[in-house]
Amino acid sequence: MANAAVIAVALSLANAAAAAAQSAPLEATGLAGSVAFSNEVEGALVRALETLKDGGIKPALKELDAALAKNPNFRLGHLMRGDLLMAKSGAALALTGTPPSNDKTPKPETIASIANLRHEAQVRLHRYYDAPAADALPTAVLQMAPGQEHALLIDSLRSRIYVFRNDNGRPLRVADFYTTIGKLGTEKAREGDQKTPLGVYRVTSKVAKEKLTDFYGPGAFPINFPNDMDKRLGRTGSGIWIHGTPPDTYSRPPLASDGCVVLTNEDFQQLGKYVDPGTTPVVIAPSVEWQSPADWSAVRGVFNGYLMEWKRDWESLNMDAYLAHYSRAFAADGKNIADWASNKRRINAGKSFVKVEIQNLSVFEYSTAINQPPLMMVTFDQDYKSSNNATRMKKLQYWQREDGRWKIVFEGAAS
Amino acid sequence: MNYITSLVSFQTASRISRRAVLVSARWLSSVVLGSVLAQFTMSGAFAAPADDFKDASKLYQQGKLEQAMSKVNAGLQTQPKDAQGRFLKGLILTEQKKVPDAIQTFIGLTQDYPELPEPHNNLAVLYAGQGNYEKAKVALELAIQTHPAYATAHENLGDIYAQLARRAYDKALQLDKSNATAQSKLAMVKEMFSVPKPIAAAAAVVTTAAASKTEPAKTVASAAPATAAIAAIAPIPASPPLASAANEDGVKKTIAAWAIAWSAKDVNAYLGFYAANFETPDGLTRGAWEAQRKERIERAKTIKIELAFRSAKVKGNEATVVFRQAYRSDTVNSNNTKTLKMVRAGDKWLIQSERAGG
Repeated sequence: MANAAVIAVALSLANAAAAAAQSAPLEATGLAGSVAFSNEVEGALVRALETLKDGGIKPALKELDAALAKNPNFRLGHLMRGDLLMAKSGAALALTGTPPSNDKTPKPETIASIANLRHEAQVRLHRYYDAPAADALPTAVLQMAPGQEHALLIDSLRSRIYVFRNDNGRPLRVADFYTTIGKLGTEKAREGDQKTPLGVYRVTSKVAKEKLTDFYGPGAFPINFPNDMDKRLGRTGSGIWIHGTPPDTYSRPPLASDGCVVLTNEDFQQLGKYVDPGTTPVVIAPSVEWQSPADWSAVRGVFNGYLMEWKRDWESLNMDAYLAHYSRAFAADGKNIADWASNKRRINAGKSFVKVEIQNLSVFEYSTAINQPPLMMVTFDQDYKSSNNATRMKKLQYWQREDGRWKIVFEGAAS
Repeated sequence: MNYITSLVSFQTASRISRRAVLVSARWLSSVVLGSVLAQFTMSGAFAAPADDFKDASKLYQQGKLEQAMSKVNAGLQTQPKDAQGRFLKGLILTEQKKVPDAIQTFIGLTQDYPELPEPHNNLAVLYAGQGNYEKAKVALELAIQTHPAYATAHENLGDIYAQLARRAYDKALQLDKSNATAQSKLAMVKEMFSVPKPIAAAAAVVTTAAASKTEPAKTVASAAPATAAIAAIAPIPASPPLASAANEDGVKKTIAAWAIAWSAKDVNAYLGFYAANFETPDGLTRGAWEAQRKERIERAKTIKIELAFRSAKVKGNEATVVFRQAYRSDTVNSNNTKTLKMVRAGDKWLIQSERAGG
C-alpha cells in the first residue's frame, strides 16, 4: 500500500535526519520544566512520558486525562492512555507498533490507523526530544524582505510548520506547529496526486469560515500553487491551501491530505496571527537542517558574496565577468544561455555606465525535488539606470550550485 | 529472648537439588522458631545468636554499617540459615552499596523462602536500580502471588510497569537518546513481618508440643518480636519418617529429618528411621540398642548436629550416603565421617547400617 510505504520511508528518514540534525536532548535544554510547548496537548504528551520515568503510571494518566478532557477527539491521547492502562498486563503497547499478542488479527484499517497515530506520536515528540537549539537557524530562510513581517517554513519530513519573524532581515523563530501534508508526501506534479508541492510560495488570501464547509475548520489560507517555477517544470494542479480540521477531529495523521497543509483548529488560529494574506512567504522543504548562527551566517555571507559580485560585474560592463555568473543550464522566456548572452552583449555594447540598486531583497532555498540540493530563490526590487535607459522592476532569480559556485539558472520578472 | 537450643544445619559439599535444601530448611526453621527445648547454656565464650542479630539491627539503624555487618555475620556463624539474620545482612549490604552481594543474599532468601514477599520486593528494588526492570517485574509479581494484598510490592510494581512502558516508547519512537537511567523510586522493605511457614503437605513437623511432653515445665522459647506470626505447628505423628523420593534427594531429605529428630531429642521419631533389620552395633539386640540410644539422647541437655554430605549413591532400593557429622552437646563435641546404608521400604528410606568412617 503506497501510504504505508510512504509512512515507513518517512519514519526511517525521520530517524536518520533527526540523528543528523543539530539537536538537544530533553534534559540538556531543561525542557521538562521550562520548555514552551506549542499547545497543551503536546505538553501533556511530553509530561506524561516524563512522568512515567519518575512518577509511575497513575500520574502519567492524569496528564493525559487533563488533555483529553479539553480535547476529547485527541485520538493519539486516547491510544496512549489505553496503552498505559494495559501496561501492567504486559500486553504490547499499541504505540510501539508491535502487533497484539492475542489471536484476533486486526483489520487493515486498524493497523493503518495505529501506524498513523504512531507516526503522529513520533513527529510530535521528536519536536521536543530532538529540539533544535534555541538560536539555531535554517538556511532555507536566508534573507527576509522588509515587507515580510513573518515567513512560514514547512519541514515535510518532520511534519512541522515554523513561523519566523523578520528581525532586520534575519529570521527569528517565534512559533511552530504540528502539520499534516499530502497522503503521498511531497513533490506535487499534477491534480489529484495527493501530494504537497515543494517550493517557495506565498499566502494569496484568507478564506473566511463562513465561505467554507466545516471540513476546513476556522478558515483557509490559499497559496499560489502552481507558481512560475511549477509552470516551468510542467507541474499542474490547484487548490493548495493551509487550513484547519473538521469538528469531530482534533488532529489528522502526518500524511493524510490531498496536498493541503492542515493544522489542528487551535494551532490554525494561532498561526493566523502571523499570516499576512498576499505577502507571507511559505517555504515548503523536504526537510529542515538547523545551523548554528555562525554557520548560518557563513552560508548567507557566501551567497550574498556571489549576488553582490554579479551586481558589480553587471555594473562593470565586463560581459565575460557578468556572464560567468550564469549557468550553462540557464533558461528564461524561451531563451537559453546562448540567447541570453548574445542579447546582453548587444544591449550593453553601447552603454557607458550601468547602475543597479537592489532593495527589499529576500533569499529563500527553493526545493524542486526531495533528493536534489535546493536552488536559491532571490527576489528584489531592481532600480536600473544606464546611459540610455532606466527601469524599475521586481526581479526574480533562481541560482544553483555549479562548478563549486553559485550560478543563475533563471532570471526574470517576479509575478 | 531465647533462641533455638538445638539446630540442624546443612552444608552440602556436593551439588544437590535446591528443593531438598529448601524443604529441610523449612523444617529447620520451624524447629528454630517453635522450639521449647531447654535453654542454651552459654559457656560464656560467645553471645547467643539472638543477641547478635538484635545488636546488628540496632547498629544498622544507627548507620554503623561495618559493626552491624560483624554482628550479623557472627550471628550467622552459628545460624547460617536464619531468615531474619540474612535479611538484615541483605539490608546492610544494600546500604553499603554492595549491590551484587546484596542481590545474592536476597536471592538466597527467595530460594529458601519463596513464600516471603519481602526478599522478593527488595530484590526488585535492587534490580530496578540496575535498570533491569524485567527482572524487577518478575520478582515483584512473585511477591504478589503469595501476598496479593502486599501494598509495597504493588506500588513498586506499578512503578516498574511505568518504567517498562517508557522504555518501550523510547525504543519504538526513538526518543531518549541520552540513555539516562531513570531514578527508580522503589521502596525497600526494612523488616520482614512474616516468618517462613512450614511446608503444608509433608507430614512430620517437629513440634513444641511433642517436646513439651518430655519437658513439661519449660518456658516456650519466644521468637523475636518481629517474628510474631509463628505459623501453627501440628503435632508430630509418633513414628514414621516422611515419604520421600526414591532418589538422591529423597535419601538426603530422610537423613536430614533423622538428624532433626535426633537433635530435637525426639527418641521415638529418631528410632523410627531405623529399619527393622538394622545392623545393631556391638552385638546388641535391637531392644538393648534402642534402650541405649534412648538413654544417651535423653541424657544430653542440648544436642546440635551439623551434616555435610560427601556423597549419596542410589541403586534401586538401596542407597549409600557418606557425610561429615559434627555433634555437639553440653558434654560432648565430636566430628566424624559417617556412612549410612539406606534401604527403601514402601515410599520411605530407612537406615540399615550406620558406621563411622567413609
